[in-house]
Amino acid sequence: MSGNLKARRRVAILKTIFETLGLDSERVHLEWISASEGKKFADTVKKITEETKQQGPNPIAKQWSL
Amino acid sequence: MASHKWIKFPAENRDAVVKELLKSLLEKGVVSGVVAPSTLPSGASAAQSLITDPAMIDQLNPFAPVMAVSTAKILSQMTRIKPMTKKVAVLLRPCELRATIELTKLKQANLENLLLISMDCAGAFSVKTYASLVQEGEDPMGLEAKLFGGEEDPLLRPVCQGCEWSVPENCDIVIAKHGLGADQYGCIALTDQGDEALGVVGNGEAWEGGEEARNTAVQKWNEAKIAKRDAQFAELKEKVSGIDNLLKIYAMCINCHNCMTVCPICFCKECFFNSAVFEFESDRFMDWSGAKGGLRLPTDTLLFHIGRMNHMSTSCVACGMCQDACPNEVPVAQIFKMVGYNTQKRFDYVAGRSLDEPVLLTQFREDELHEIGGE
Ligand code: SF4
Ligand code: SF4
Repeated sequence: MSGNLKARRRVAILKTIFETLGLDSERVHLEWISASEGKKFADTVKKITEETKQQGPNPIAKQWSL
Repeated sequence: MASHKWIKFPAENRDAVVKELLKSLLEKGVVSGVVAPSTLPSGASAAQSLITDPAMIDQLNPFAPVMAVSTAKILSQMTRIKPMTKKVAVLLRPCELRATIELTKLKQANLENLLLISMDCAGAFSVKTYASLVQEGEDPMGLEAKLFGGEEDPLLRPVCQGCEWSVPENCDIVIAKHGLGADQYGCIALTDQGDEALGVVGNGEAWEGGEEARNTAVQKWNEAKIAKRDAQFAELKEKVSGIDNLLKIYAMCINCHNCMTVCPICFCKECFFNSAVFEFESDRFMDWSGAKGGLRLPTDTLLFHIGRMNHMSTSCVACGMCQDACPNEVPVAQIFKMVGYNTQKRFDYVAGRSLDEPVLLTQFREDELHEIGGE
C-alpha cells in the first residue's frame, strides 16, 4: 500500500526535476516505478533511458553524448 | 526567546569574544572539545579542527570565510556510529547546520551532547579563491563587512550570493550581525543550553530590545537574498533548459564523482552509480553505440547527475560543496539548488529547516499528488 504512495512521491519528484531542466515530463509515468518498486530509484533511472528509447522520436534518444 | 541572553560587543572583538567563550567552556569543563576552524600552517586556508586543549584555542580562525569540508560531513563521521559521550561545542555555518539536521533525520548524525553555535553568514569563498585573496594581501574579514553592508561580491561562491537561509535557526547560540550597526556583533542564546554556555563568560554588554531591530534587519537581508536567488535561477534556467543545453552544461563533466563525494547529503556508503549495476558486458556497449552510431564514453554522464538529483535533491541544503569540488567548474551546486528548491517546494519542505519535518522520501500521504495518478 504505502509503496504505491511513496512511488507517487518519487514520480512527482522526477517530474519536477524534468520540468526544472526543461525536459519532457510527460515521459515520466507512474507505472515505471510501481513495476520496479523494491529496487528503488536504481531501476527508475535506468528505465528512463529504456523507455525514452522506445517512445519514438524523442530528441534525447538520438544524442550520443548523454 | 526574551528570557535568553542577548549580548553585544564591538565588531573588532568578535574573534576574541568567541575564542574566550570557547576557551572558558573548555577550561570549566562545560565542554570537553571544540570543533571550529583553525588557520592551517600555510596561512592561506582554514579547516575544521577538534580542539581539546584550551591553549590551542588561540589558533582558531572562527570566522574565516572559507569552507573546506562541510562540518555536517565531519559531524556525521564523528557521531554516526556512536553519539558523543562528552559534550562538544561546534561552530558551523548555517548551511552546515541545516545539513547536520538533515543528516540527523536521515539517521547519519546524532545531535546528542553537541552545543551548536552558528552565525549570521555573509557567505564564503571557495578554498582556491580564499587562498588567492590571502596571497594577494586582501583581508577576507574586510570583505565580510562589505557583504553585510549589502555589497555584492562576484568572487563569493555563487550559491552563497543567493542564499536565503543564511540566518541560522536551529542552534544553541547565534553569533549575530543583523540588527546591529557596522561596528558591533552580538551573541544570542536560542536554547537553555546556549543560555548556560553564554553565562560561563558573563561579559559583553546586554543587547536590550534587540529583537525588533533584528527581525527587521533579517527580513531585509533575506529579501535581498531571495531577489538575488531568483535572478540566478532565471539566468540558469535559460542556460540549462532542454537536452541540448544540458549536454552543453555537462560537457565538461569528467565523471569523477567528486561532487557526490564531498556532498554532505550523499551519505550512501556505496553509490548506486559506482555499483555492479553499472558494470556492463562488452556487447552492451556495442549495442548502445549501434543504436545511435556512436556513444560518449564513459557512459551515463547525464544519467549520473539526474540520478543524483532524483535521489538527493529533496535533501539538498544548497551548501555549494559539490561545485567547489568540481575540477571543471560545472555549475553543479547551482543546478542542484534550483532543482532541490523545486522538488522541496512541491512538498512545502525545506531541507534541514526543522527536526520535526520528516524527510520527504520516507514519507507518503494518500491525500496528495492526485494530479500524478496512482491509487
Ligand atoms: S548537492 Fe551540492 S549543494 Fe546540495 S547538499 Fe550536496 S554538496 Fe551541497
Ligand atoms: S565533480 Fe564535476 S566533473 Fe566530477 S562528476 Fe561532478 S560535475 Fe562531473
